[in-house]
Amino acid sequence: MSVIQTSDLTKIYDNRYIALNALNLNVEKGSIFGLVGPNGAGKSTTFRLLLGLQKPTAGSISLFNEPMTPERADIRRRLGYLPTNPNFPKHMTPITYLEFVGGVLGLDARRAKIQLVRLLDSVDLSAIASQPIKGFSTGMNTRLGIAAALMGDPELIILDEPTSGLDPAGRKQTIELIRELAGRNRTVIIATHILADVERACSDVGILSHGRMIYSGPMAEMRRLARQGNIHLEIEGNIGSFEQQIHTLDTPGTVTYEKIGSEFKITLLGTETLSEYMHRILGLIDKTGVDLHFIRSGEDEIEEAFLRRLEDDRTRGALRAASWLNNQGLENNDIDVQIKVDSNNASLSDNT
Amino acid sequence: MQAFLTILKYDFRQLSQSWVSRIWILVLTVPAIFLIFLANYENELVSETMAFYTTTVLMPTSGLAIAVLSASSINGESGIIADSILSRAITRSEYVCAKILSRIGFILITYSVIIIPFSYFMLRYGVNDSTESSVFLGWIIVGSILTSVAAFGILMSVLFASLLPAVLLVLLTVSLSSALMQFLGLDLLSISVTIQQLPEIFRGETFTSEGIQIITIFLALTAILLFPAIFIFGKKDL
Repeated sequence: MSVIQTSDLTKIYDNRYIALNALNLNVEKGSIFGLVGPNGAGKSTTFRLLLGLQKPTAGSISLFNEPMTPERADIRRRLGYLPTNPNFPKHMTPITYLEFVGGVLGLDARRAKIQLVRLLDSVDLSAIASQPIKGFSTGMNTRLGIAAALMGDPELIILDEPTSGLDPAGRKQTIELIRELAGRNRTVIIATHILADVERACSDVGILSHGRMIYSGPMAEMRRLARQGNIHLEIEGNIGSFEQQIHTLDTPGTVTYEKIGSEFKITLLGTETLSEYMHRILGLIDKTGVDLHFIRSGEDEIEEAFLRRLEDDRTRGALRAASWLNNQGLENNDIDVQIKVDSNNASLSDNT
Repeated sequence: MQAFLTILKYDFRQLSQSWVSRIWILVLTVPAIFLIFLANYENELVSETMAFYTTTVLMPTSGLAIAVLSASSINGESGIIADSILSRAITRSEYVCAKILSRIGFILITYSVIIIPFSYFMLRYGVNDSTESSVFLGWIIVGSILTSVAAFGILMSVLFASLLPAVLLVLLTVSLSSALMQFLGLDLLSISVTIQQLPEIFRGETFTSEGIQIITIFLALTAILLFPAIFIFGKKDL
């Protein structure tokens, strides 16, 4: 069952800036969905639209299979939200603020009290629960925001940068809390640019770039794609023979090699699968009789996969733009379109 | 409903703790006490003293205080409105209606807390040329004017993201509208014309129906100003 479903969700600010471009998002019940992307990719805009804080320019949103609008307080009652760097009424204390949130959620005072004590304890704010919020650090604000998001025991939890400003212990604690929530059949959607957190916590991932979803799928698939990316190995012995024969293992153009001393960095460009190639590499090691010191596939794999996806998207974007301009007949000396695409960069330059 | 009541309670508490409210109450109270003593010792007429108080103390200070309190109702919370309030289980109309009720309610309660004892002591210690009902009518007229100013302030608070332009526009509009209405011959809509008539109203020299007409006009104006505030706020991106 889908908890969040968006169809061609588009948000354009002041007819100038496209924050979201036909976003199709589907988050299943009980999953932890990580929404990753660089700054300005549209993560926070997505959340504001999901919450009904902003109105979409086009497309539709449904939460719990019901259309979401700013007036749907009944749907918002079923969800909890943590904004990035949350702002709270500064004169309040964590206790009074959570009481206030409980009141807005319609909780009775007694239940709200029990809930806030439990939550303040779980986010480690009990010791400063009666101090004014105005003196709080970013990390404390984030923890209070998490407690506020969980106040109504929501079915869907929307967390925008939940680990920002937290120390390593706080981050670990937050990730554990998120996992625990998913274990209780709650659905969690997290926006972050800390990929390690996504890898540790999420069951599904979506990559946003310039308001478009350029990848969406299970985390395991993302990991597989990432691991497919590279193999790093170090050998000793007849390295020359190994280097000569490694080219015979693949179809030309599907694998790139980089040799640094006795180390080899092999990058698979997509058509090769990691397990098959790894099998052949091990065969070659055996055949050439070199000593294998270590072999591993992708050290910072998620990050590399993420960056690769963004790079691919940029390249495709440049090509699309060029194609569009050419179709518009603008190549007739009005604009000279030049496309430069290489493995590290893709750019579109116009000399008007 | 509970969300509405929570916002109402929260806003009311905030207003009662604000420095603007405290100063406003102080500025209204001290001259009121002084005038009660003056009326007692100098045998001043109740109607003239109360009208004098309204013109020189109540309207200028309340105008400023109400402009600030109402024009800060929505934009004063711009930093927290999305993060802490409207992302929770509350509708925009619930929120804005709670704000309207708390701001106008607070203003009218403060006004009443000052005016009721002031009128009581004035009627007791001054030279009584007024009736209780005519004094009541006079203060209801003033209350309805203040309510319409508050409504205009709330509308400005929805329209402007920052406080200062909203407050300045309220003050400017209130100041200029009286002259404009007089110029257009719409005396019933002119605040200054109505205030000038207060001694007669307090003495009961004007018809009650005329007083009710003024009250109705200003309350209708309040409704006309609040409707777009609710509508525009409901359509806003936060």
